[in-house]
Amino acid sequence: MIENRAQQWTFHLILALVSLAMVLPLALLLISSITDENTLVSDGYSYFPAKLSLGAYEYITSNSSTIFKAYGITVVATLIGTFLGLLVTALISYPLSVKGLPGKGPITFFIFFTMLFNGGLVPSYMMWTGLGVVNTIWAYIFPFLLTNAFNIILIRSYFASNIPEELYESAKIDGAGYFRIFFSLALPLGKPILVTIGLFSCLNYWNDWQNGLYFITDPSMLSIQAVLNKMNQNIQAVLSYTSMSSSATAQIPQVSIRMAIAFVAILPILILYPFLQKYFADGIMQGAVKG
Amino acid sequence: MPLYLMMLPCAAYLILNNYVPMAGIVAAFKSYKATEGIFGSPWVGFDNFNYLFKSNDINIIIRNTLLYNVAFIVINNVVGIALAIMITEIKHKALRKWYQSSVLLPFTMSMVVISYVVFAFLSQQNGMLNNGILKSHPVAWYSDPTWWPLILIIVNCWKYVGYGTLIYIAGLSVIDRSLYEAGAIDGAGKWKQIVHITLPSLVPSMITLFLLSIGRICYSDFGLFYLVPQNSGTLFNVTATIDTYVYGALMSAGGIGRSAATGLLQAVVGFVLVLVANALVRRLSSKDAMF
Amino acid sequence: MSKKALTLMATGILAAGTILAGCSKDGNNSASESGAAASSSSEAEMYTVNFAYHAPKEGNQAAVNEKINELTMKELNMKVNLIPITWDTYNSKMSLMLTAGEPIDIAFAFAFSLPSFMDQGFIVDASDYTEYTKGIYEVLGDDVNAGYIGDTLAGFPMMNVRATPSGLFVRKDLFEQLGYKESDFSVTTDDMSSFNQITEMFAKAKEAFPDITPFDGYRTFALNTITYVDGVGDNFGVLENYGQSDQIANWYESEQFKQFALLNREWYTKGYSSKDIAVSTELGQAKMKAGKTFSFFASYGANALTDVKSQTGYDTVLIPVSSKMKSTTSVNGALNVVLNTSKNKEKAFEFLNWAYQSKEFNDLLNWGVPGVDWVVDENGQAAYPEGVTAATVNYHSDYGFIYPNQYLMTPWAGSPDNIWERYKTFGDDALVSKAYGFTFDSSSVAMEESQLAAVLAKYENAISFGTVEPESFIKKLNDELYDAGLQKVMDEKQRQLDEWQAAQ
Repeated sequence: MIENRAQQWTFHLILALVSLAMVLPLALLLISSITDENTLVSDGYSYFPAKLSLGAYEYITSNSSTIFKAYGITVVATLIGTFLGLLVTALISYPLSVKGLPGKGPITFFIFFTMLFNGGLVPSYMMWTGLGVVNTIWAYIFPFLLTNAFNIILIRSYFASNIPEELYESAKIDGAGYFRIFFSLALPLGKPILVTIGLFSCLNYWNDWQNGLYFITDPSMLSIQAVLNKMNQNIQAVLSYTSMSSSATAQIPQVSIRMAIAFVAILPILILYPFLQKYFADGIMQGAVKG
Repeated sequence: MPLYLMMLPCAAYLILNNYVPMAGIVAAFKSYKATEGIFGSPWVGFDNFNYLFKSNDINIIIRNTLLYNVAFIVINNVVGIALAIMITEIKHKALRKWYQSSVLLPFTMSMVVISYVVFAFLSQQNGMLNNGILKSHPVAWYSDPTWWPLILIIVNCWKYVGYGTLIYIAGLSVIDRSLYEAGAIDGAGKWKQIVHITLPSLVPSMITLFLLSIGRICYSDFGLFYLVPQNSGTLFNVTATIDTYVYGALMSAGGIGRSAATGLLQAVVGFVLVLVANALVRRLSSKDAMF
Repeated sequence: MSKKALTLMATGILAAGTILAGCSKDGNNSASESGAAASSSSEAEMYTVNFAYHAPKEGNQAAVNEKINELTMKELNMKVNLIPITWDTYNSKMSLMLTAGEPIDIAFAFAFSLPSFMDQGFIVDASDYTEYTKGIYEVLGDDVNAGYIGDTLAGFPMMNVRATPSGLFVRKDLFEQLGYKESDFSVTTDDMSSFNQITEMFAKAKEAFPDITPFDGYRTFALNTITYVDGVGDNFGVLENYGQSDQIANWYESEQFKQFALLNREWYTKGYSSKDIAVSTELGQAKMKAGKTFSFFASYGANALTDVKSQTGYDTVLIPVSSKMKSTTSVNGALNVVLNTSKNKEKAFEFLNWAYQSKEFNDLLNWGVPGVDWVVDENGQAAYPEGVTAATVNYHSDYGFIYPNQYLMTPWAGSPDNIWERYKTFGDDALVSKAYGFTFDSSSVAMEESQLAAVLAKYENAISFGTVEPESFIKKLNDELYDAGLQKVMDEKQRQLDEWQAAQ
């Protein structure tokens, strides 16, 4: 059909432009990170710099053992955190999507309330240090990040509006208990949203540096974002206090290093992207086939 | 009963992570003294709220916070839905995956990094725009407020649109294909199918996302409004929000009381709005209401 | 979300209170436990001082800590647990740790944090413990007074250089190519037109070196209040003319502020300064290093030209653009404070007293373990041992200016002879502000202060670097400052100052 053809081409055109707009700034980040520092200052930013240099990466890899260890910690925290988070989130979302569950309103409210009100950082800090997460891997997993009202409500809505009730009914008639229904029906049918939320959760864990800042004092337990954030913050802060210091500023890394630091942080995500994305696409297809 | 059991782990987490620290809210009404602790410190009534309202710029700050949030909600959702529909319509599998992943790429970058990238484009001395495209009419980006509303909306959309897009893709993936076939047989064109089949099926996701974002209408992304405009004072009128203002004002005279007070205020406003919106939704279509 | 929800909430919050109360106790233990773990277990009764100090990085201090313990156990019969605070943790984590009640005995604090630390009750009044701190008084002399806020001795300033005048650092090669000699310049605030000498030089530089930006960096005259006026803490109400006036005045309304703004405006419109200068966060030193900057503005100390050479790689000419002034602010930039979370305040002061007097301690803190991180070279100066470099050394702070007593430290190799003598005499010919020794207690106007800070943040950079039209913006700035309560702050400052002067 001609109409279909034209429509496909229009969509391709628009989406190609959009994805270009999404990727190009990232490319600039990469290119500035390998641009020679002096070229950057004198010629300005460019996709086609006159002189390249790996100086920024040399600066970063001078701490390579720390960096590898930190990557390891991030990966472990991300995997455990995403898995646990997704599990507890799905576990609470599913009952809330069941029609006629007594107390559903108040419980949803109880969840939603946490989205808006919080007691600030200090009580949370006291709470989690009190529970002994300091300098353990759990410091990255539990505080703040495991799940949130946003995810719970999104998954609940998805369950409620996209899984036909008749399926539950028939399963119940077959004598399946709630747990079995959850694992054999709700989880597979909810795959598209679970994969989506899982991906977001994964990114949240990967990009988090605050838990590292608050709960880690042992440098061998720093995650990659915490390490990079430290480098970055130290650059910024030294700059803003320099009326007091002169010798401290001598070897401060500059623009290209900041770019390199940023790039190192997202690099693994870029590498893992195709794999994540495969799951992701599978999830979507699964959902589509179901109808 | 097993249903309540399922909810237990997550509920326990929310209590620990969110409800217990909420006790810190009392700090909003206290003059904090280290020797007395949060609970023993003297009560000061609403004193901690005063500093916010004493400001002559309070109107600008509130206007900016609310208007930007409204703009973000509308634009991100419209663009997100449009992208989601286009992406699911694409038949070429590899390209569809590519489009789908590229929209989420900016989401992996932190605002700090994004502020560097924006600076690379807008820098008056070295930036790509002034050095390249606008060579004859350079714009003083960081001191001319004219373009900033647009710039902030674009940057925000660029970073966050992938999030909504993926949620909507998940929502679209379960639409019954047979509906479209039926539509096609009835002679409905692609456009008609989108309007009559696709969009209505997204309504539940749209309502959920809307209710969730309206609760955060008094909050703003600190990085977006502070780091991206390089904290340039001349842009104050178009970039100041509650969060950036509080940060600036508290740098000199800190105190957990005032930050707790501001947070409480932001939460209460969002809370009231959500209750109102939720009541309206319930009246219109009770099954889409959140609670 | 009816009654049930409300009951649920109420119970939640109640439970929260109880658990939190319990938590804070647990929280208290964590830091001291790690302290105890660092020391050997046999002498359990020996007091361990938790000392938060400024460090370039965390986690490499174990060996240094051990050496310091050997010293303190011998000389003081106590132990120390070093808590390194890096730049990034100072702003975010330090106040968090303090508010959460972690048992830190001594911490360094920047002067700008003091009012808020005081207000929140973190700080112990050191004037109640003078019997333990006689040594500190000997070292600091009158400079101890800079640690007072009202009647409270909030902390002890570090012993380091006392005056920070400002100057323009110009690349020597280009300077000479233009045919200039240092003696061609005499720039002084007594005659504001003398600043035009710089403008003329920039005009020549721009013509001769079209690729080079004549002026760049992130500081300029109007921003460096510490150089030109005694800001008496916060710059909202200052003593003009290097603190030689008695009357608190609004600097942002002064002729000098306006002249500085107009000067920078001229540079900006004529293209002498970088177009990004008002939002740039990079140091002039870094810009010069990249080879495209003719000059930058900075405060300087006794050893300035050597420092700048190592930072930029270029020889520079220094054109002084201010007189030298000694004000409270130039002394109390950073202080050591004893905190209320300390379990034994007497011991804390006793340790601090020792810290100002022990050469070994200051050397350890700054250069690390002798023989491992540094050695004394043939000139009696500190240097890296054979085979150790800046990249491989385990511990090397080089933050002498923010440790208790810089003048006790072994100077680093390459320093001029008698470097500390030169530092001391550098401040000798400084003008002493009439408010020297006085610190403004801003707690009664804290609300106004935060409003004023917010107003200033809107305009300061733009006006100072001349990216906006000065006259109208200076007017706007002042209108808003007065709306935000500037007069009240100035009146309160004047009142406290008068009282203080009467008491002298």
